[in-house]
Amino acid sequence: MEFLLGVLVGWAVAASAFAALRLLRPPRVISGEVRAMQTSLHAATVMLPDLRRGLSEESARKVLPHLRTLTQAAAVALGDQSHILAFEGAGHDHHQAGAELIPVSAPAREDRLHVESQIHCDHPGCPLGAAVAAPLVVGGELAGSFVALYTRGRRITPDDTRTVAEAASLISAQLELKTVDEQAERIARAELRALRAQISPHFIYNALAAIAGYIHSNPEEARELLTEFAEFTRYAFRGQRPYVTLADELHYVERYLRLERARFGERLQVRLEVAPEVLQAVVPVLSVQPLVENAVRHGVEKRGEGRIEIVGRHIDADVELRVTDNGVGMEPQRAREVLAGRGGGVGIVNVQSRLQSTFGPGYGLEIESAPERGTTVTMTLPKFRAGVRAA
Amino acid sequence: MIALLAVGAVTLGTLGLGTWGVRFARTTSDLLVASRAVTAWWNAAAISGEYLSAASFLGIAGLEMQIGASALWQSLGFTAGYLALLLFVAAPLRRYGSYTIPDFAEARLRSPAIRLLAAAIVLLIGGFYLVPQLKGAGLALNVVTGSPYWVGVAVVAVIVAINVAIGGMRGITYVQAFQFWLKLFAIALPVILLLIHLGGIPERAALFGDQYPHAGSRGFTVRLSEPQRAQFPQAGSYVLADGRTVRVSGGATVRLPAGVDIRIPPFGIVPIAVGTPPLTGSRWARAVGGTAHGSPLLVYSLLVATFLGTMGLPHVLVRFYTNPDGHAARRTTVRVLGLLALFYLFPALYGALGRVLTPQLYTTGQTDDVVLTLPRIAWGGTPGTVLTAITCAGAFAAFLSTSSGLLVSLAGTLSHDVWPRVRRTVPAGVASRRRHFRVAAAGAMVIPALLALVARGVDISILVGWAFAIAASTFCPMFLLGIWWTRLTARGAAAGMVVGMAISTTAIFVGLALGEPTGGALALLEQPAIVSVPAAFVVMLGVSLYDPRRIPDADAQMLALHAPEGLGLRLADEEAEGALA
Repeated sequence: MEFLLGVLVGWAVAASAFAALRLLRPPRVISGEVRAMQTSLHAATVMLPDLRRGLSEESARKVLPHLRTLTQAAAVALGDQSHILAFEGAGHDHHQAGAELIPVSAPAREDRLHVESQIHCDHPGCPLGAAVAAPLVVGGELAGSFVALYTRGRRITPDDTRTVAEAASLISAQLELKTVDEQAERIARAELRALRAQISPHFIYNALAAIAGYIHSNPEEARELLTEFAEFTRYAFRGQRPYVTLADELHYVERYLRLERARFGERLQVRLEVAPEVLQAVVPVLSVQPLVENAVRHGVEKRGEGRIEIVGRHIDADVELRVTDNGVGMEPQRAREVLAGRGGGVGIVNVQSRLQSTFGPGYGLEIESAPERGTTVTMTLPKFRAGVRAA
Repeated sequence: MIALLAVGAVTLGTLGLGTWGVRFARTTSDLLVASRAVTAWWNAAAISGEYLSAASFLGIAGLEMQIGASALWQSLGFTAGYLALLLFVAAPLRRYGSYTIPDFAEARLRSPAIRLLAAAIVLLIGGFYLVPQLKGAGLALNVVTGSPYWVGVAVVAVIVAINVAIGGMRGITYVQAFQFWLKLFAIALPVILLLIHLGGIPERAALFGDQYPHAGSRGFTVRLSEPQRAQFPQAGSYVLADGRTVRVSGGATVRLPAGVDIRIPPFGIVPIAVGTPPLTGSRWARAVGGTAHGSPLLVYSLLVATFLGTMGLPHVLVRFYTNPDGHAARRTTVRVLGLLALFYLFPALYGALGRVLTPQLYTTGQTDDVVLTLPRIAWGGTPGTVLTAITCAGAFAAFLSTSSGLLVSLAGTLSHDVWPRVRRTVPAGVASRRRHFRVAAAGAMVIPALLALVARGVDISILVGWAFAIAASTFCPMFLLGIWWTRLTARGAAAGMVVGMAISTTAIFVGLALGEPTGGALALLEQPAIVSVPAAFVVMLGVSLYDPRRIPDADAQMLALHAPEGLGLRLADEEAEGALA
């Protein structure tokens, strides 16, 4: 016990000594200019993540202190087209969020900076005098304004106006990025819609032809296959759910494979080997079936027979799903091109872009292939990601 | 020798099952597989297999022998913890879909910072829980081979670290389920056969009367590895190897020498190592108040820690991910309650039999050995040796499976939660994440192994009790309030967890420094849960109520946690997305 106590005390003493040394070390001397630059650079970078989420009362409240450091003004405000979103600095007791922007400063016109030597404020004892208002232009449209206010009697220098203009363009650029993000998301959604609409006509034709072949010889089987087909289309066309569990998606793959088996019979060998622990992982809807369909099309159809393996494993906090065929394969160079979206079908690229926009870089698809050696597509995803929930 | 072989077989079997068993463990068939999720029984056995650790296998029986029936509150608490899990946590957590505790904290409280705090607490709990596993391993190997204590600690630490790093036993449900049945068999069979052999519990007067432990009709001989101070509760004597008889008056403490045979004559009073309370049968059999350890305050504190701490054990919660839905999670938990209740019948029998049949453990002070040595001493010859081999093998299965599960959680937390925050990047690609995991697995073993070397004198059950106390004072309030209260905020949760963690760890370390004080309120230093858990709740509630930064989509989160599956209810943002699609 004494030994343990000794170890603990030793750690505590060492840690305190280290902390004391760090605190006592004289601060490095840096020139005022460098310090000012560092402060403004820091202020500018700290704002970025908040602005990236768009202009709202919350984000405005968060970035204003930094904007005040940056502009050295007595007070700063961010507004949308007509109202104050947030106000920071002198006079904040009577200039508050939600108020009309006008008493603080006339809203900036779309294209230019607006300088006012004395704002109109009825509040007695308002310490504020001159103001500079700069427009925030996003995508060519006025999204709001940034106002810097100075104390009574202070004259506005060209440096002030330039700083405010620069700060406003920094804000605008970040807001612009947000709309780019939104557009990327909209595109991903549109792609999903496109994919839903795009159950390949080729497959529909083949499946129906195969079912037709059974109608006389085996009506029972034909009826079952038609039901499968109906269920298959229902899953694909059912809107309103971007994510499903891997179990659901594999069910869908099984339906698909049964329909393909109706056509290929024993010439299509399938092996599914999925660890039960990964079945609850959440994947974008229609993310596995296109991979299997590709394997059937390129691995089996071209040679008239083949073998497809679907193997799911869990590796720590990740899920790995491999779809392997023993078909004609392709050059590794071409595999890279397919994944990058140059040539090849839209299916794989679409799955890749949805996986990466959902789970971020580090997850998604990888293709391994060589001519005549078959192709393996490996999908990796995390077992859980905040906000990604199966419907 | 047989014991060593059995331990080797279990170790190799465990490693082999983990590495090659993957083939059997996956659902394999032609088609129609995805529907075949793991059934509730398999899942329950896997959870129990992961859960039953050295504390359950060795610790409870040891503590029962040492302090009497009040030790059985431990097994009650260890089981009842699943009742709390069943009532408040299992189904909502499964519906939510999170995999680890930091996953849940980050998603529910909308704060990446709280993920790091949760990760730190996972490391603390996992570390505290690993120490007793390694201590158990040191003891077991000492009993089997006579090797020094540190050898067993080092061997198991290295085996488990390698096993986790190369990817064996990667949380495969069927492997863990097998581990449960192995442990149940290994603890049940020897004691059942022993009871049949003995024809019931002999000398019941020792359990309920006013007798102190005595040496039995044949007396016994012990040899100590280091000198031991021991107390004779009544007048008695012992015989040294040179034939000298030393008579001791009642209540006197003697210093027994190491390295020589010390013989206690038949029916002689057993000298009891200092640190173990000398108890008459009637006091020993009292469930509350028999000893300082059994004081009502301490019993309640222990019950609070175990009842509420189980839901915060990181290696147990990840197992619930395998359940297909909330309903299945509940069914699994009910089965876990049944399986654990069955298992915990047996340690109690070892403890009671140990008081009668292996009183020499009172003299050595190593009552934690009772499950391992009882069969060999109580039933001479080959049967005893074989049965001891079985219990040793079961104990090793317990260390290996629980420590592997814990180490997987620790390494996963280090490589998945801590590393990306420290380096500010997510490792790209499975291969590099896997590499980080391996390094983390090796690194995470070092500190618990070192602590296990210095923690030899602390009872396994008490060590495990600390892990439960910390879990109950941090994650339990976070889960209960996070699942059932919309107003919980990120700052409130963080403040509560920090306070709970600070109170519980401080109490534990102060208690260690003061040498485990017993008696009165100071006993709370040994098991602080009854103070730290309410404190954490109060701070969490208070700070949340005063925190203006509420979680914007708390109602939608409640829907995700509580709406039964299949109702077609969705979060508002998903609804909007659906409308666009």
